[in-house]
Amino acid sequence: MKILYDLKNIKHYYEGKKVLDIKELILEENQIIGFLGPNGSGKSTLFSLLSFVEKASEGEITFDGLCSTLLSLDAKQDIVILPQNPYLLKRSVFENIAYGLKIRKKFDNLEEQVYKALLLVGLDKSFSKRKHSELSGGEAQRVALAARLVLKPKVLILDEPTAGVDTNSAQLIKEAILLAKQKYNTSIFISSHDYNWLNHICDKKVALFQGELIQSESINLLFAPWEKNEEGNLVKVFLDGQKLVIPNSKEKKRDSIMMINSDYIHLEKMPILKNITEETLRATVSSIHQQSCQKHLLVEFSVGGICLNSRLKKENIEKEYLLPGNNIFVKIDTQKVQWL
Amino acid sequence: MNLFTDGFTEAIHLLLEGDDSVYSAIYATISVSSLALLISLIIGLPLGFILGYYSFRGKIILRTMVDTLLALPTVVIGLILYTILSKNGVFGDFNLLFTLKAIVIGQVVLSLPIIIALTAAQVESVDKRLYTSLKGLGAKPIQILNATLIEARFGIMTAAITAYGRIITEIGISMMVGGNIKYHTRTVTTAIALETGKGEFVTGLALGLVLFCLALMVNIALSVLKRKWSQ
Repeated sequence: MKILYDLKNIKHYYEGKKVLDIKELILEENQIIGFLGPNGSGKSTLFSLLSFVEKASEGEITFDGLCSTLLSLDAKQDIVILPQNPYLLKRSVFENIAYGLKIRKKFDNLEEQVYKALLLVGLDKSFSKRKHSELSGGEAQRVALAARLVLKPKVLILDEPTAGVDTNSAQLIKEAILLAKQKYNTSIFISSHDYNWLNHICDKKVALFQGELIQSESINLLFAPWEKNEEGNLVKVFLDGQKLVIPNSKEKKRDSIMMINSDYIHLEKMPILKNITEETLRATVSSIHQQSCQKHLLVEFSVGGICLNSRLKKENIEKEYLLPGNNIFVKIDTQKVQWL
Repeated sequence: MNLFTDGFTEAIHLLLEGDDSVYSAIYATISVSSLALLISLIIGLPLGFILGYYSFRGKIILRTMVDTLLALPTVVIGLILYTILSKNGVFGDFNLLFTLKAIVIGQVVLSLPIIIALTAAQVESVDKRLYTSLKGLGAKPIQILNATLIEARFGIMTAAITAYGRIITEIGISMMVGGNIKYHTRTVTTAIALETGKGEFVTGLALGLVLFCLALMVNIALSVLKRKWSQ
């Protein structure tokens, strides 16, 4: 897949305080990429840099093969961002949605395009006449999203698009995002605290913690809900009834996110029975990908509907006969987990 | 009290009678002040936007200077311009002294700091999310400038009214670089000064009322515009 963004040695400071420090990050096109991390982890800052709203204090960002300093303003218009709490211009809904088209001098079928965008976010044509002040929070967010979708951007960056909106609006926003991906082949970067949603729609996940990239390629994230066992440790109950107990997790909350590097997940075709422990899960191999490092392959597998991956050497894959569709046994080194 | 009633009657009389010198002063006042305001807006709005929007070295010093210029007395501006425009001055060859153009220049100097300072304050007070949203939609700097000025239109209109109010009522510049030449550079304010100096208080007051009516009309027009925009 074609590389869309290549970030190298990115550092960003606000008033002398380092808020972002990314050594390398590659983002490919036509993917939905989820950005995870607690508040203050640097997601919004990273989005500002990716959308070229801000310039990184240090480092180099390459977009579509061109260094950001060589990118024209027109090229940057291929990237649009829906910030957290977007601002609507003090104009009508129609004018708000048409604004992006007008500044790009795309006046053809303006009305039709605006109405189509409104429909995408589940709003009626009659909404176009409303004033910005006559919208509810959810409606305003949908209008702001429509103002981005109407541009059919190459990259759409969404910073917590469903935060603080009603359930109905959140659902319509989610549908509109997927529709945009299907219709316009847009690369979408999303940050959201709705981890289940992200887990289902994202082709790839990027986790940030205190401004640093934890892992970008071979990480696994296990999301809430968690249960607690008698000892108070967190237990993940998969849809097929399998359970994974995480030792030493008494202090963690039920809505925590567990992160485990792919290198700490071991796969076996048929384990020696005595080796089957609480940490052993049954899974089915779904796909195998070539990694940037030629020696390793990324094996994706499904445990009770949840996709995880493991990085293995090619000879190990051949030895264990880990082919897509095969049932396997998975052993997670729970001592190596990290929490977000 | 008689002075005011007589002044009011005289003002109506002067206007209805179609006194050439009065209409010439009104025309000079409106044309000069309007042109000065237009020039100030063209120069001042982008500069005010830059001052309010961007962060750069020396911004605080520049801001303080602009704010200080707000308090510059009109006679001082008139005096400085007089020395520059007089025969021996830097721009003496342009023969601008005692012309309406000289008054326009002076009034631009007077109103420019008002437009810059108030626009900068408006731009600074605009919701910061506006800039992120506009940039995120791919707006270029000039488009951000336009959108910001439209968003802050009511505040900027107030800046324009304030500046217009200041220049239409100034006398120092008009007197010093205009010369108060009848049918040529005499404005309403210089006419008032002249009439008062001659002891013609009623005529002076009548002209004052004319000036008040002019300011009132400008404000009513802008108020109508403001209501229309807010719909």
